[in-house]
Amino acid sequence: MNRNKILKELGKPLFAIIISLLIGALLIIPTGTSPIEAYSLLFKGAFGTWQGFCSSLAKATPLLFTGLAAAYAFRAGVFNIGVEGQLYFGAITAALVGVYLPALPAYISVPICLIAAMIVGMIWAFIPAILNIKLDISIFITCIMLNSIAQLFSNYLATYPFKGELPIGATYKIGENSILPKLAGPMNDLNLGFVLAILVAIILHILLFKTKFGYESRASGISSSFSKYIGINAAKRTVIIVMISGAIAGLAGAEQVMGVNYRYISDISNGLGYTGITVALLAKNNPLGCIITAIFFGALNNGAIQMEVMSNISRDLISSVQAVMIVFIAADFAINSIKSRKKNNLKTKNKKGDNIC
Amino acid sequence: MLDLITSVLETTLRLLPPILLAGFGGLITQRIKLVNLGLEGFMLIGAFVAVVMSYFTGSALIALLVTCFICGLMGLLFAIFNIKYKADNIVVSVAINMFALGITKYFLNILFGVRGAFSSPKIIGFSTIDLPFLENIPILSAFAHQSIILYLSILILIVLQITLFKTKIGLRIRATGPNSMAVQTAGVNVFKLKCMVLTASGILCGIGGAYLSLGQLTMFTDNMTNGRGYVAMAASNFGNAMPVGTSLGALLFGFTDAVTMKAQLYGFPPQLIQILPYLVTVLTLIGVGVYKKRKSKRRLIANE
Repeated sequence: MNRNKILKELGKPLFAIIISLLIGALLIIPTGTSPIEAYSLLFKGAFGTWQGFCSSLAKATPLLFTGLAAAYAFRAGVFNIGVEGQLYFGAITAALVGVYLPALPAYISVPICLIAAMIVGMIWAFIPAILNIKLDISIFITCIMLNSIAQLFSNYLATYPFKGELPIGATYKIGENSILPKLAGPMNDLNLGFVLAILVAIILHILLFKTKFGYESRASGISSSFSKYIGINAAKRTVIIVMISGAIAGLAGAEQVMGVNYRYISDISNGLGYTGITVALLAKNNPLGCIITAIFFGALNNGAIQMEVMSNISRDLISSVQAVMIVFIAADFAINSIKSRKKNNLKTKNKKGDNIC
Repeated sequence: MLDLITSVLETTLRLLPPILLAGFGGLITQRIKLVNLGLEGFMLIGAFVAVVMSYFTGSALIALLVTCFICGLMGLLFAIFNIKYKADNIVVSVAINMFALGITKYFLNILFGVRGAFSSPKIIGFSTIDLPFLENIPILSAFAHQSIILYLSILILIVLQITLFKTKIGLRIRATGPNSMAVQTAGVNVFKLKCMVLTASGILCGIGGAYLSLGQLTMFTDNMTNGRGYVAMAASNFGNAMPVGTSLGALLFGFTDAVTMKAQLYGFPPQLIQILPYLVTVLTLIGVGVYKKRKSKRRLIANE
């Protein structure tokens, strides 16, 4: 019984992955490379060596943060697509605090940078939430606009007032004590942020499934009118949820600065927030599931870079494959509904005569 | 001063068609209570297909027709996934936009072996309608050399206004939003109606996208829509899903875009200037929100 349930849960994501990889294969054919060769290059790049595997985990780290941020909001029925912008402000905040904080022991300065990034991410997430509740403005559109504003403004800060020594739009290097230590050698991007992200996933899991607040969030995600009946203040909850989501998105930006680049570089995210949505959807908005899907996408992205180097296939293919994946996960082709649809068809057949207009 | 006004107006009119057309695409889907945020992706695909077809056939007209066909098809697919397979429309929108961004980059590389941007003398753009007698009149001279697509979009505005408010099908579309059950009960196939509306939405975005790549500059660059689809959505929100209102919204955003372009020439930090259209969009949405809220409050008081 239980195994059946697990198979059913896994069935759809697997189906979506297979279909999208097949469509990806069709797209590879015009380049003249065989899809099997391309995918095997991709796989070798992602998992072939220990360093490659660690790079995949490094690529998975920001995706796990953004995926968790998105999953948590989706669970509560809020489509927080503002993760990208919250990430940008988290990143620039962590960089500026890291650069200008006086030298403190690492166990103080690292948390300060992280918390600052979380707070700014939270504040930036608060704006669309409050506008949605007070004025009924689509959270989606404001988030998209705020994403662009956050990205451009952070780039401005790094290019003009806080420009560092490099000839590009980037801040100075952050202080030695604000750096997240590397886990797999100096040349690999894998850093303590990965452990931190796993920790956040576990905390969110507990928050969602073991606390009253989590129960209420999930309830309002499933049915807002039901949650009203049991006396949940939906408006207040939405704001809190989006703000928590924004804080996690801020962490994603902080990790990119403190663990990978050691400074804010213009356009640092380049779509991590949007990929996080796929990570969340593929994991059915389950925090622990996000760990697996984030590693899957990290491996896909890392492998795509190797594939691009070794063959003539551009890595942009992978984002199209991910998009197809999203559609097939979101669509409801549930096998068990075919039966009921047949029944419905029989019923509607009798009425169809009227449908002339 | 008069020169500056004329030149800003001229730029506004040049930037207007994509926002206007995609705005209409958003408006009609808003009428059937379906938020189509895939406008951005449709436009980007439209821009790409138009460049490719124009490059290979040497005809802007064929390019436009193929673009309409492809974007219409994508709109139809959106409808099928959203209505038949019950995929959330926002999720599908995100996917469409992501897909458009990736696939255009990918095929740009495959077809032309370049990254980032592609331009060639073989790409034939849309022709302009030249009105030489306007050239020497201040302000009106802004209209002297505008693209044929600008006039096409004004024509579409008129057709849309008439279709929505004077025809049977317009009535059905307007009724589907507030109460699709009633329309269904009246014997209309709502599924077909929605498919039609989304196909039309795709086509409108496709024309807007084609204008981006074949209208003024004949080239394609990665992510060349650059958020215009979302701005168009905001224009339709601004206009309360009315064709004329949406056009006014589109004019406002086109104007902001034009000011942005001019201000860049005067050496302002580009990042700060580029924020302007997004900021104006958010502020406009807030303004419209406050207005709507006041209005509904007043109605409540009046009812009491």
